[in-house]
Amino acid sequence: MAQSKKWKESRRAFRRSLKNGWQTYKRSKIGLVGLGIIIMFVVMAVFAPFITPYTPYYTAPSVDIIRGDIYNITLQNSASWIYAPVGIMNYVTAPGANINLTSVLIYNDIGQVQIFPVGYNYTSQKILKIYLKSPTNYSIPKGITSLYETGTYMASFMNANTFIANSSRNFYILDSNLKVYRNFSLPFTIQEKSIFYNNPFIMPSVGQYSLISFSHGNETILYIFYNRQLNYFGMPQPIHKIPLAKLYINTSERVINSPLIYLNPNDVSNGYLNTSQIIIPTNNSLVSYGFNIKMDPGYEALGFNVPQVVSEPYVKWIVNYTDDHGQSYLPLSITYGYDWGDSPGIQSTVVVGTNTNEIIGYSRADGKMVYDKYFVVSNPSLKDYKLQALYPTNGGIIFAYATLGDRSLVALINPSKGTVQSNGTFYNVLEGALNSIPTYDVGSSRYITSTTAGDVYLLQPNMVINQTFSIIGGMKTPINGLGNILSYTAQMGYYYGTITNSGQLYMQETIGTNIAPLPPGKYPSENTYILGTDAYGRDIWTWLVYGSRAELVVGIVAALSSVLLGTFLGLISGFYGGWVDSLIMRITDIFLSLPGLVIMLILAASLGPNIWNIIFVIAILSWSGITRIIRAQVLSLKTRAFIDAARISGASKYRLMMVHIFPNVLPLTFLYMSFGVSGAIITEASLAFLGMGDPHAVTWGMMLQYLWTTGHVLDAPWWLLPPGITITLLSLAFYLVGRAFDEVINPRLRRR
Amino acid sequence: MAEVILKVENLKKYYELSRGLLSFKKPDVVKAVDGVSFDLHEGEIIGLVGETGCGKTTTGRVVVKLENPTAGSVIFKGQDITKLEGDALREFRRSVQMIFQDPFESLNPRFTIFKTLIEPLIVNGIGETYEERVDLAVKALEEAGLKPGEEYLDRYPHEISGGQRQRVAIARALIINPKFIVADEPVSMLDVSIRAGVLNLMLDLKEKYNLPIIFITHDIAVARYMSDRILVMYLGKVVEEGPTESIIFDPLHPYTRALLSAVPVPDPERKHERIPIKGDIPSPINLPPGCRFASRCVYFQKGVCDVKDPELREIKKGHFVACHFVEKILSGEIKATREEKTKHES
Amino acid sequence: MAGLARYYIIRTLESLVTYVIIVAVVFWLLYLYQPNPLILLNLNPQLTPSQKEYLANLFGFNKPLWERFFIYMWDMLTFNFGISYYYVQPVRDLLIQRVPRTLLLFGGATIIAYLIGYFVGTVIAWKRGGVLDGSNVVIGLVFYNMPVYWLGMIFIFLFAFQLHLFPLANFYDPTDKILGTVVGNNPPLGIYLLDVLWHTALPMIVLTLISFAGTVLLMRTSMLDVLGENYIDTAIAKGLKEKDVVFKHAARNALLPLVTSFVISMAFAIGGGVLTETVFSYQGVGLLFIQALGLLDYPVVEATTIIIALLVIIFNWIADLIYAYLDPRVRVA
Repeated sequence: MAQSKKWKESRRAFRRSLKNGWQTYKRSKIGLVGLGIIIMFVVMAVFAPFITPYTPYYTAPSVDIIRGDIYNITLQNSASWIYAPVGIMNYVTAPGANINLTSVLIYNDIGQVQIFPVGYNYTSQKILKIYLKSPTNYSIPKGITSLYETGTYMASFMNANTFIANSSRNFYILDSNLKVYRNFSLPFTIQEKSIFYNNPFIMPSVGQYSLISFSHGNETILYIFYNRQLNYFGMPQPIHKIPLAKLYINTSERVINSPLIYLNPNDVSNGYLNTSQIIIPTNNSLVSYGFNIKMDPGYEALGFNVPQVVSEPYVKWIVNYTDDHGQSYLPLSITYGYDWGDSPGIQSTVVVGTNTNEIIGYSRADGKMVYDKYFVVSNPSLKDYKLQALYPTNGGIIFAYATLGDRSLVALINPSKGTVQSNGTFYNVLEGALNSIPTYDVGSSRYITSTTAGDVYLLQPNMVINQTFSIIGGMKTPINGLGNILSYTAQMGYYYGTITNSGQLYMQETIGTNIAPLPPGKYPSENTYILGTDAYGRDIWTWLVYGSRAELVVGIVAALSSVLLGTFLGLISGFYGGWVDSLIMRITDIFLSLPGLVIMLILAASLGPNIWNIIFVIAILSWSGITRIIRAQVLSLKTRAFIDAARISGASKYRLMMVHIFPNVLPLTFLYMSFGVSGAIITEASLAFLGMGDPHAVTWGMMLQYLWTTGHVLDAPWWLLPPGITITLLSLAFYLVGRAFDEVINPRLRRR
Repeated sequence: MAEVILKVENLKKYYELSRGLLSFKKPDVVKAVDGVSFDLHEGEIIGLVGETGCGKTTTGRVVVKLENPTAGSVIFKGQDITKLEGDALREFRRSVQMIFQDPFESLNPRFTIFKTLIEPLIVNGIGETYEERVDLAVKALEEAGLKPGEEYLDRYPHEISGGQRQRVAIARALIINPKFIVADEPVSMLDVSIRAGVLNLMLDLKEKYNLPIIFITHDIAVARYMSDRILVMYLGKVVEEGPTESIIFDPLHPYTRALLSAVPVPDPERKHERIPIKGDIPSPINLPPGCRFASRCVYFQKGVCDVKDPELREIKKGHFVACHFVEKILSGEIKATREEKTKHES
Repeated sequence: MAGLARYYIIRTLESLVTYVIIVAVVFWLLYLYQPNPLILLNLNPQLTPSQKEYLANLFGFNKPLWERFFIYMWDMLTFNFGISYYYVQPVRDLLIQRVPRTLLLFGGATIIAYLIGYFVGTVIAWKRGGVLDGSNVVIGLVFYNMPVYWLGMIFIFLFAFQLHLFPLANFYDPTDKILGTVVGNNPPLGIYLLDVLWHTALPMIVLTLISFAGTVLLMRTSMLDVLGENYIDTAIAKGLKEKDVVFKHAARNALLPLVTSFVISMAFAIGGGVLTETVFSYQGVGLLFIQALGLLDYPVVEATTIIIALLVIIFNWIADLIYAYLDPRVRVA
C-alpha cells in the first residue's frame, strides 16, 4: 500500500516530466519524422510474416528462374488430343520424304497425326524455334493405340524410318510418310489399354532386329523384324519377309504383364540364333520359353543374317511366385537389369517387384532366385510406401516407384543386388502419383518423369530433384513413349512436351538459362515478386521486411552495450579521479586511436561470422567515443552544489555516483545511444559487405553483400536500391531522433 | 553565557597550484584561509563578511567538512571533526547542514522535491516507513514556509521559483534536525523583494529552535540584519570581529570602515564620507609579507604595515581588530592619504 | 610560449606511447586470429622454402610466444615488414606504392569537403535560414547516413556504366585513352596523372558527398557562434560592408573547429577507407588490407593495420598541435 503510493507519486512526477519533454520534442519536425520512420520499421519487423508472401528462405521455383524456351498452342479439336502422346522426332528421312528433320509429333486414336517442324541450325547445331503454328497433318489408321519409331541405329545404307503402330486388332508398319506399308491382323484382340504396362511390349532394337510382342489371355505372339532395308548394288530393296519370324505361345495361365524378351544376336550356330528367351508372367508363375531363330541361307552368302525360321518355343524354366520365406506374392512388374560390364542386350537378371514390397531377382539363364530384398530406403519414416512398379532405364539401373496416399517414392535399384542404390540413399519423394514412365536421358544425365500433381521432374542420378516444372493448366498426357526427350546432342537443347488438360500443346526446354535475379513482376508459377528476387531466387521484399528485425536488434543491442559501457567508464573515471581516471583515459585514448573498421574486421575474422560476434565487435570499438563526453559532464557535475549538499547529508561515494550523478548523465547517454544505433546499422552493413557478416542472418547488409559477390551490381537495380534505401532511412531516422532529443536536453539549441 | 557549540581554532587552508610535469619551480600557494578562529555559541548567528576571495566560503566549507584544512582544528562536541572518519563522521554529518548560494544548483534537477528532501533521511536511516518520511518532508516544507507541503512534493526544481527553491533547501537542511547550519550567501541570488522573506524565515527558525547559524555574505547590510556577531574577513584572515551593533556603528579596521562607508544610505541629510579603497583586491597567490590590506590601505605606514602581520587585539569589549595603528587612526594621528599608490598592484 | 612547447612535447610523447601500445595490441589481435602463423606460412605455395625460412626467422615463428612478441615489436617499429605471402614482394614496397594513392583519394576528398563546408557554411550562416539552409540539412543528412559503398555502387552504375563518364574501377588502366592517346604501360607523367585523376574522380565525389553535410553544419554552427559575438556587431556598426565582415573577419575566426575537425576527418577517412577502395577496386592501402585478410597474408595484414593506425595517430597528433596553437586554453592540461 505504501509502496504503491510511492510508485504512484514518483510515476506522476516522472510522467509529467516526460510529457514536458515530449512537448519540446514535438516541436522539432525532424524529430517527428525520425520517430515516424522508426515506428514504421518496428511495425515491419513485428508484423513481418503478415506483410510478406514468402519467408526469407523461400526460393523461386525453377519455372520462374530457369528461362527456357516455352512453346504452346491450343490444338484444334482439343478434346481429341488430350491424351495424345507427344514426341520429338529426330531422324533422317529418305530423299523425297516430306517429314521434316526434327519435328514434334502428336497422334491420337482417331487416326490423326500432326507434325510440327523444328527450325534447326546445321552449323551451330542448335534448335532455333519450334513452329507450333504450322503442322503438317497426316492420317494413320483409326484405333492406333501406340506408335513407335524404330530409329536409325544401323544406318549404313539408305535408312528408311519405320514406324510401328498397333490397334486392338491390327499391327502396322508405316513408312517414313506414315503410310501403311504392311498390315498384320493380330490373332487376338487386345482390349486392355494401360499407360504403364505397354501392350505391346516393344523391345528396343537389338542389333538390327526389332521384337514386338502382344499378349492377351493366355496367348502371346512375338514378332521379330529386321530393321534394315536391304540395298543390293545401291538400289533400294523392299523389306523382305516382314515379319521375319513369328512366335506364338499359348501359356496355360493368363498373362498378367508384358513379357520380357531376350535375344542374343551373337550366339549363332548351325544357322540358328540360339538362347533367345521370352519370359512370360502369368497369374501363377513366371515361365521362361526358349527359342531359336534360323537364318535364311539365301542371304548368308551375301553376308547378311536374315532370320527365317523360328523353332518351336520350349519351356526353359518356371518360377513360382514364392519369396525366400515361402510366402507367395503377386508380381506387379517385371523388368530386367544387368551389371555393368555386360554389353547392352545381355540382360542377366529378371527383377520382379511384388505386392509384398519385395524385389526379387531371378537369374535369367536358369530361373534361380538370386536375391530377395525388401524395398526400403534409408529413411525409416518412408517404410509404409507400397511398391507399384519397376522400370528399366539406360545403364541397367532399375527405377522403382511406390506410393502412399497422394505422394510417390522414387528410388534407384541396383539390379544385381536388389537394393536401393548407395545404401538406400538414392531416393526422393514427389507429390502426386507418377503418370508417365520415367525415362533416363543420357545427354543431360537426368531422369524425367511426371506426376498427377501436374509437375514434371528432372531427377539427378542420385534422385535429387534437379528441377521441377509445373505444367500450367495441369496435364493429361504423360511424358512417355513417343515423348523421347530430344537430347542426343547437347546443342539441340532438352525439351519435353505434353498436352495440357485444356488441350494446349506445351513444349518446354528442360535445361534453360538461369535468369535470376528476377525483376519485379508476376511469373509463371503464379508468384508475384513485388521487388523481384535476388540471384538465388529469394524475394527481395521479404528480405527487406525481415531484415528490419536483425537491423533493429543489432543496432539497438550494439549501441546500448557500447553506450552503457562508455557511460559507466566515464562515470567512474570522472568521479573517482586519480589513477583510476588516468588509467581509464589512457585506455580510452588508445581505443580512440585504433582505426575502427580495420580492427573490427580482424576481430570479426578471428571470432567467426556470427551475429552476436558482430554486435560485440561493434560495441567494443564504439564505447570510447562517449566516455570522454560523459567524463567531462561528470566533472562539471561534481562541482555543483547539489552534490555538496548530498555529501553533507552523508551520502557515500557510491551513492553520490549512482543516485545523484548518474541520472544527470542519463540524457547524454540516451542522446549518444540514438547516434550509436545510427552508426551501428551502417557499421553492420559495412562489415557484412566486406564479407564479415553472418551468412545465416537476414540483414540488409548481407543483401548487398550477395549482390556484390554474385556480380549483379550493374544489372539488378531492384536488388541494389531497396536495401540501401532502408539502411539510409533507418540510420537517418535514429540520427534525426538524436538531434531532436539534443534540442530537448540542450535548451540552447532550440530555435528561437 | 550560551554554550559553545563549535570552536574553530587557527584554521588554515592552503591550495597548491599544479605546475605540470616539466616545471622546476616550487608550486605557487594560495592561502585561502590563513589562521581563522572563532567560537559559535548556541542560538547565535555569526555573520562572516568579506569580498569575493576573502576565504569566507572556504571557511564555511571546511567547517562542514566538505574540505579538509591544511592546519588547525574544528572542535564539535569535544571532537576535532577534521580528523573524523567512518561512523563518527556520519554522526557529525547529521549535526550540521549547509544552505548554498545558488538555489537552483543546490537541488538535483533530476530529483523531485520529495526525493531531495528525503535524501538526508535515507542516508541517515531516519524514518522507517514511507509514510513517516512523507510526514517529515511535509513538516519540513511547512516549517520553511511552503504551505501546503504536499503540493510541492512531486514538483521539480525548475517548476518552482527561486525563493521557493531556497526554502526547499532550508527545509532539506532542517529535516534531520542539525545542531547548527552554515548558510553561504543564501539570498544573494534571490530577487531583492524575496530576500526579506527568506531572511526572516531563518531568523524565525533560529528563535524557534535555538539554532546557531554561520551566515556567510558579502553584503554587510544583510549581515547586520541577520547576525548577532560579525566577523570581517580579508584575504583569508579575520580583520575585525565583534557584536553586530559595535561593528556597524563603530567600525575600527580601515577595511571595515571602507566597506561600511560604501553602503549607500538613503538619507540625504546624513553626512557621508566615503573612505576609498584603492585598487583591486590583490591576487591571493604568493602574498607579500605584512598586513594583507597594506596595498590598499589609505593609512598604510611603510616599515610596519609591510613587514609585520597584525594580530587580532581586543580594542573594545568583545570587539577585536587586527591592525597595527587602530588607536592612532582613531585619534587622528595618522591621516588618510589620498594619493593613489600604484606600486602595489600585483 | 613555454606552455606551448611543453604541451607539444607531452602530446608527442603521448602519441608515441599510444602508437607503441597499439602495435602491441595488433600483435595480440593477430594472435587471436591465428595463434600459429606457421600454418599460414605453409599454406602459401608461391613462397620458396628459403623465403619461408627467412620469414620464419624474421618474425620468430619458431620461438616461444614472448620472444616472438619482442621480435615483432622490434620489427614493426623499425618498419621491417617482411615479404608478402601472396605477392611475394617486400611488404614495404607494396605499402610505398599504395599509401600515396590512399592519401590522394582521402586527402583530396576531405579537402574538397571542407572547402565546400567553409564556403557553403559561411553563406548559410550569413543568410540565416532560407532554402539553402533547409535543403542543405536535408540533403546532407541523407547522404551522411548512406552506406558509402552503396552510394559508390549507384554512382558506378549511373556514371560509369550507363553514362560512361568515368571508368568502372581501378586506380589506372593501361588500356585507357586519355586525350586520344592510349595510356600504355609506361606512360609519360602528365598522361599518367590525368589517367589517375580520372580514375580517382568518382570515388572522390562519392566520399565528398557523404561528408559535406558534416562540414557545412560545423562551419555553420561555428559561424553562428562567431556572428553572435559583440565584436561583429561593432564591426557592422562601424560601417564595414556585411559581406566583408562575414568573409574577412567572422569566417576566419570560425575556422578553428573546422581546421581541427579536418585533420581528425582525415584520420577517420583513412581508417574507413577499406569500403570505398573495395567497391571501386581502387588499389590503395584499404583494399590491400581486406584482400590480405581474405588471403591470410599475415605480414600484409600486420603491416597495413599498423600503417593505418600510424596514419590515424599522426593526424590526431597534428590536430592536437594545431588546436593547441590556436586555442591557448587547451595548453593548461
